[in-house]
Amino acid sequence: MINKELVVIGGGPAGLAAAIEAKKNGVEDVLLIERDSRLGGILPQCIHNGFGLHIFKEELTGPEYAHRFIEELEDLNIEVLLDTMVIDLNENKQLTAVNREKGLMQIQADAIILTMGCRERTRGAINIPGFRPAGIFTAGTAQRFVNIEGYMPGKEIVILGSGDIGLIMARRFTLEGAKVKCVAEIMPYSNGLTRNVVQCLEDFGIPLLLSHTVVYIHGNSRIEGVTIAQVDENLKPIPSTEKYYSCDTLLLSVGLIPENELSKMASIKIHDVTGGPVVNQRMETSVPGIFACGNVVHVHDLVDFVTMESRLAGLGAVDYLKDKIPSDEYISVSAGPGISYVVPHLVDPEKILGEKQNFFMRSTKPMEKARLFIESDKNLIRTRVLQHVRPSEMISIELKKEDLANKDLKSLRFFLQEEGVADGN
Amino acid sequence: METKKITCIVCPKGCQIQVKLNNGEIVSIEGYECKRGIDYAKNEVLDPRRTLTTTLKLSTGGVLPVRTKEPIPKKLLKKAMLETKDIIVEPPVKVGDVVVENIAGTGIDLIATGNVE
Amino acid sequence: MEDIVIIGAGVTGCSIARELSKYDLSITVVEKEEDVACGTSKANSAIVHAGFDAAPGTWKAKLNVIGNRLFPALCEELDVPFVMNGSLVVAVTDEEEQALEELLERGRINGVEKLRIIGKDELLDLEPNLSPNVRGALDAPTGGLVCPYELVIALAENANQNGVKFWLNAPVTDIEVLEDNSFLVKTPKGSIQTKYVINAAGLFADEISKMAGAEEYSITPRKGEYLIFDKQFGNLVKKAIFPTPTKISKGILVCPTVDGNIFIGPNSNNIEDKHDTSVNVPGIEEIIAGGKKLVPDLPLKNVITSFAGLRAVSNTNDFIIEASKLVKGFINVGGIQSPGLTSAPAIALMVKDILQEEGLTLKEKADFIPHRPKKVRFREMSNEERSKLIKENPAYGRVICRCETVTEGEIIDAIRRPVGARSIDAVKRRTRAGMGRCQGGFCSPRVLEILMRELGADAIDITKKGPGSNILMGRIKEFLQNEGGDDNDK
Repeated sequence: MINKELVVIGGGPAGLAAAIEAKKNGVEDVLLIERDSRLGGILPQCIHNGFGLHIFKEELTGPEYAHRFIEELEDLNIEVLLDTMVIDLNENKQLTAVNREKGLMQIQADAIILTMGCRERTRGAINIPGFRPAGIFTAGTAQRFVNIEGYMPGKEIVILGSGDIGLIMARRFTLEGAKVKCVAEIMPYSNGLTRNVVQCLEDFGIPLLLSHTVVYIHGNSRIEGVTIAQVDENLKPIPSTEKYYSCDTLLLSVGLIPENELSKMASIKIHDVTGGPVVNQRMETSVPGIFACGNVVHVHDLVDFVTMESRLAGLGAVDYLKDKIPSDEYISVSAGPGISYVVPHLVDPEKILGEKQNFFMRSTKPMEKARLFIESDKNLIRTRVLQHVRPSEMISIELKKEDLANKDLKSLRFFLQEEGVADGN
Repeated sequence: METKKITCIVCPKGCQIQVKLNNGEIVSIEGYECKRGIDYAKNEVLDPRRTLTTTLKLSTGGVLPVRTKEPIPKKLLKKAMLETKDIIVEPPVKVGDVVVENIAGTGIDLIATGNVE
Repeated sequence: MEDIVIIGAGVTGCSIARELSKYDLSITVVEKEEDVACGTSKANSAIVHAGFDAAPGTWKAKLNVIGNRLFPALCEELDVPFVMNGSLVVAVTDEEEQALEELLERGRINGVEKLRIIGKDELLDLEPNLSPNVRGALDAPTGGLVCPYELVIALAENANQNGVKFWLNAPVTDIEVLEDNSFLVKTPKGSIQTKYVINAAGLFADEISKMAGAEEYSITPRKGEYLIFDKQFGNLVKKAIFPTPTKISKGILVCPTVDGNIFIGPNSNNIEDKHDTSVNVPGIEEIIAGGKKLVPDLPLKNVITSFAGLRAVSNTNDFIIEASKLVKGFINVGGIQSPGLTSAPAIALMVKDILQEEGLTLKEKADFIPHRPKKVRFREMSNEERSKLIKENPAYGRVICRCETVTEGEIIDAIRRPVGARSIDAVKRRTRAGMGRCQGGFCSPRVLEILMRELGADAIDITKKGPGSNILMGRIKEFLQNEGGDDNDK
């Protein structure tokens, strides 16, 4: 058994930021474990720009954003194991990892930060009828083939789902000389950022079919086409609207799921809505000393927010390792009407890190104008008017220490009310 | 008279802005909700620009991610892509290195966004 | 000149090939697909039936019961996952309860052992997730589960070790009977002259029989659709749960797989197109409704994939296993629908007997190898075993499929083994890489890379499942061309 003070599992943006933050704040013995042959997680394949506006105040590409952290990690001499897969984790903070050179390693950590990220929903998860030919890719897998391996998965493409990776890939394929026929989105609104709809679809005249979905996949060996239909308000296809699109490739950009196989092995409590661990204000899970941050906790819209959250987790681990903070007195943070979830799910109002506590949340539906209410069991703490709220864009709210501390609060609740719309809508 | 419809991307709101043009001159701008929208719409109509991000082949196999150092005229994106078709980059390359000068005659360089040893 | 050509590399053809490989014979298996087990054998319920279902006196009934008894030893010998977890036929109405008695009696006549009827309390004790409407069940402890494609692969590997040749991607286009009563079996890869032809062509057995001028019969594809759930719900049921059967089919089951998933299905619909393995909405709705009758709370949000299989149903509604009376040396093994998987080992023995009756002399090989090459299953090993293995071969230290914990070493082995994998799906069937919850999203680029390296092939040439199913269509920049003008949206 190898002993380590802090082990970070996953070398994407979350793992990099968490490891750096912990090392900078005095944890000497940090080990970062990454399953791929390079650091950066998904960033090296996200060659488009738009990263870093919050953290670096400039617009970077994915590889550049990753590069800044990788350089800092190297400068700090943080130990890294690449091409290494963690295959087991338990609640005693013991983990098993394997790689080619060192074989099977059993590691006892004093603290662990989970940063395994998320995976893409597949065809099976959305159950599209038809055949099972080659040529069906999740958008991220196609992105890896194009941007890392240097191959084109296809020439005539239909994209299902308007998630950001799908939109980005629509532009990438078009610029590479392929034809993107359309993007079908089952919801009546896009699931991607407006900027991506404009710069990836409108710039190239690619139709975005809202309230449409793929109802059938044709072709036995390689995909030959799809049938797309409009859906009604219950998201059920309307038969009379079916239309055939020939294509040699179908990309799926239909959502991301936090990857928590290891969390479950360690009996960490998982939140029903996010699919990630329930965490407190220091990003600590239900198992003391095991922290989690980034997309493994909840799927973020911007990497900058992942970095912010992960720095918090890094600091949380520092505090834990320093004096094994005794059990906090948590109050629950809940999502009321209009909000699907709030992270962190628990806070100890007396022990927040720094002067402010950040809360991330998502709305349940698009609202042009809405008022966010933050209330405790005692009082209404604050309200804030939000413009143009979308489920695809995270809402980030900071509460000051004095809003929370010394008030004997028992619970916090966030809810959204649409403004300018009659009640009962 | 010509009308161009612009979706503003300055903030997530996505205002639909209409710009009326007469012989290439802006006559009116409508539908914006803030000053930044006016500037964005003007640029989009008169000189729309985009940062091009793509990859180049490496002599060692594999690919190198690159971008234009500054946004280039939108209408030259495809021309710039065509120019990248036969370029083969010789490692080592570092983030920020210029790999293609003056892409598509824009005066703007293509720079590496990744390291290759 | 071959002694025997077997047409079709499904469970029937490969069982026969492996059985006959024990004797001094020259044998070739020809298969139209790129791998073995690509037809009915890869898409079915994977159940080793106890044998109470088929009408007494039929080949189905006789061979099922014999096959069932042969299964444990066969799977042991070939290192194929098999469990005898038992089957339950559940009744939810008075009528169905009565039907269970008939089924029990039929099973006794067929020679099925240990059958008994259990009441509601015992049933719900065994399977607490069943509907509260259940009345009781027929308990068949000798029912089991197997991984059907792994069985076929194991049979093929072992047959190959013992000298049987495999021609893949070789659809039979014609069969000519020569003057000396031998056959010329023609394929696009070339022709093979042989003394005997065994027609184990599954859905296409009728066409092959006709091609040779042997007896005419018809095979109708009967489609069954399935949904598979994530492994985290692997404890939903412990045994294969059948509804009380109808005249046409055994009904829609809720059933574990030997790999720890749960599936529901199949429905049962006769179709026309022998290539139509599509899954359709009405079918999905039908199997969900059927599954819910047995287990009301199905984890429908955790479906990882759906698929359809086609049963080869003959117009006699029984197996057709006989030497042709019209063409000497041609042996039909057709209409092998359920319980064909269970019956396969017994069918192989029966075909061996038929060949002897037809004048073939069988001489046992002295050097027959009964076991296939050792197979590593990293996910099932202890840490000590894993540690030792990686020291011997570092390729076992690189995990390629995270969902099913499959290592590079296992994938390389799958490619290098006898009748080795040549496509992404063939690797998947041999190793489970890509069968988990992410369905290959993470591992498929990596498996493709290993296939390229091992086969010395270009990435573009790697396929999902044989010719025409290429994964990639070109290098980057290849599709760029000057279309004139400089607008992007042209």
